[in-house]
Amino acid sequence: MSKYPGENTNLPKNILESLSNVGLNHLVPKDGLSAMIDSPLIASLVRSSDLDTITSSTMGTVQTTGIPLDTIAHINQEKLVFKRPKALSHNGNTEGQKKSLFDGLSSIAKSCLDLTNCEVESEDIRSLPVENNQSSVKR
Amino acid sequence: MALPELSFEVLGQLSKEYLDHAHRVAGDIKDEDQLKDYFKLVSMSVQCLQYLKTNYPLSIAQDAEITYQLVEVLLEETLNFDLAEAYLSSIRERLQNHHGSYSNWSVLHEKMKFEFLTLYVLPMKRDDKFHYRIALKNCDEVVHFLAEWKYDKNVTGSWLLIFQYVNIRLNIKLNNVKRALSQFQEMTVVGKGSTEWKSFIILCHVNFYLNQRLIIPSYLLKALGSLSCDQVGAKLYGWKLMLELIIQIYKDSDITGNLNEFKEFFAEQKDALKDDQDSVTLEIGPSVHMHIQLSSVFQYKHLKNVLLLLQSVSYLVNCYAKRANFSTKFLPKVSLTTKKLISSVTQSGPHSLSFYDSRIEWYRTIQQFSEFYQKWEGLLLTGQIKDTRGNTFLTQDYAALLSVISHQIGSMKDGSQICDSYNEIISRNRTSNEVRMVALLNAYIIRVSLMSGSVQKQEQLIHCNSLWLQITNTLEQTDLHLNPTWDCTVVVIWLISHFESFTAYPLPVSDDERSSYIERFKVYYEKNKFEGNEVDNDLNDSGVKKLKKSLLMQILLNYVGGRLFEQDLTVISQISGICFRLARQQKFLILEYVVGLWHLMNCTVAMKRKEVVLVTATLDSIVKKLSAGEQSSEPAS
Repeated sequence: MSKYPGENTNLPKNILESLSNVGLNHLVPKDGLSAMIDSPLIASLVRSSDLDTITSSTMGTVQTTGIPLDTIAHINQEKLVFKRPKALSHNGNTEGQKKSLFDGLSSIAKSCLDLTNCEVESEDIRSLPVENNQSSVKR
Repeated sequence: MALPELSFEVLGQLSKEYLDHAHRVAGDIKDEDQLKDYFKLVSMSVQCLQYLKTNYPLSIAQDAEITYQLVEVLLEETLNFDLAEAYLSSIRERLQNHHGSYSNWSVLHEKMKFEFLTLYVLPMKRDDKFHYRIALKNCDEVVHFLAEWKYDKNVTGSWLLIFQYVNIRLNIKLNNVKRALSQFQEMTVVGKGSTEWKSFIILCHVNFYLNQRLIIPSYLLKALGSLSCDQVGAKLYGWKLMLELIIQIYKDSDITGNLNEFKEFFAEQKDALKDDQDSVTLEIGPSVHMHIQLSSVFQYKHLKNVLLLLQSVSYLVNCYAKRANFSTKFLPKVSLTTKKLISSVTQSGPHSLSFYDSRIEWYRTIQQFSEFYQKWEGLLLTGQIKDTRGNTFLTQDYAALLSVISHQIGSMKDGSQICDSYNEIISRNRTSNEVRMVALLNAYIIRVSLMSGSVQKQEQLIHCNSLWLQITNTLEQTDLHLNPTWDCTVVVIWLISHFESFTAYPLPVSDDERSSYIERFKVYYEKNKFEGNEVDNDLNDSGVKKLKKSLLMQILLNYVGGRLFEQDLTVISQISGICFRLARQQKFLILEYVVGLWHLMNCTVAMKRKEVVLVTATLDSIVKKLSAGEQSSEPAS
């Protein structure tokens, strides 16, 4: 008869070997907690008001008749590529009536939009190319 | 015939209307078509401004205003960074040539605002090393120019501070840690600018030290401690309290004092906190202001949620104790709150789509933390990690670590295979110091225990030595050595791998080494050994060298200490009895078995017959379970 339980088995008999089968669970990694605090930080400048008045005249008196609203469409600039949201996903949840995003625009803004025939295609909305430059918490 | 055209005013107003409207409806977007419509609005806004720039004879002030708006939209909503840069360089050139000098202060201000966009906002959006490097070089020049400026220092002084700050941010992005630290130090020590600004720099400085897991110098801790709510306002003060809390948590120290400070702060500043503003405006100097957005701590709802998460992390190792199982209660709450925050994110508007997007990404980080710590809690409570696959954890580190640990648990074989997996984590460049340290210690333990059965002892010994060197280096060079739990664990692991009572193959050791480690251990043992019969779950684990009462740490400390230092047989069998009971709570059968053997031995020698019978029975059943587990090659549970 064996002197103690498990004597003749190959179970570990010392603390070191037993630890090699369990892992040190009391060492809880906490890296990244402080970066969670300052990662949303955005610094921007407050623009002083001395130049702000330029575009603030009212639109109430604007005559739309006879104005070539499509003029701005003639700008031949670099094609715009828009940022596709990464985390925000429109889940196709179209319950209820889908609201037109153009509701509530002023009539001049609406006509301008129609006349310019502004088109944005899905391929013009792209994700930012992934850089192998992720800012990491590692030093 | 020349047609009448849209006036300057109307176009400017239209551009604003399109953009404001887009931001108002951004929360309503439900499908791809609406996404396209959103960007149509943005596109119209941009085109109005572009039209103004090309077709109107703009004054320099008008041009500056229009260009600023244009660049802001482009950077926020599009990937047309080159286009934005082209606008920036042309306006900078126009300002440069204006009057041929900076005699006019408003021109200098304008120029600096565009430098800020060029050197800070644009590179941050681009987020690649190449552009960070260029920006840093140009930023150095701007700093130099402003520092050399001989005339009205009042005006240039504020800009100098801003670009010194930009310089630091760029260095951080380029991983120039030493340079960033010395620049922070200069700004903190020289301390120019308004009180608010100086406080802001101190807070950024401390936050950066914590992110790097480096030891915060005492002058900086003092500066942080001296920030008062009256001086800096509720929002910055909330940040300060948060950093002080994290300092404690990184040291595994008691946080009761910190939580009380928060409680007091919430009671006193209720109204100031609940205004839901996610930003503060800092006056830097005469007519120069900076807007700082930091929703994590400036918004009460976020501050509370993060606080709950951090509190859970701090008490995680106590989760088995009824009086301290905050994590069990709070982590699910954090997950739920964050889920609600995500689904209501667009109610915080109007904001741009990319604003919502990055806000949600931040919320996901919180969720991932919460998920990770719930898994870890499972490891502490049940000795198992459930479903490590398919998890999108914060970092590769954390995911890999959980996966290897779950393989390690209960696996009596595969030692060297698990070592290899740990090795992968260790040798990865980006592995954080903590995760590296856990991997190193676990790998070391496995290696040493492999030696007893190994024929290639020499080779294993080389592995062990190299691992140990890395362990001590990591401990010394990071803030981990300020944390008694990590420090004591390293000491305990050294002891159990070098003493015959703890391993079948003790590693060779010199007398000096032996006595130095024993001395280090003695301090911990004296402060933390079981007092009397009962294990108290005292929450106030304060004082130097005081350890958090995690089960494994208590078992190891008292097991090793009991065997090394205790002489009295009654005391020893008391200690082994408590250790055995704790080991049963820990749910690692194999540990329970080995601790039980020690207790059985003590009871036998102390002639505690009744106890001997009981322990033997328990051990018998453990042996049965373990043998059954081994046969089905399932992890023991």
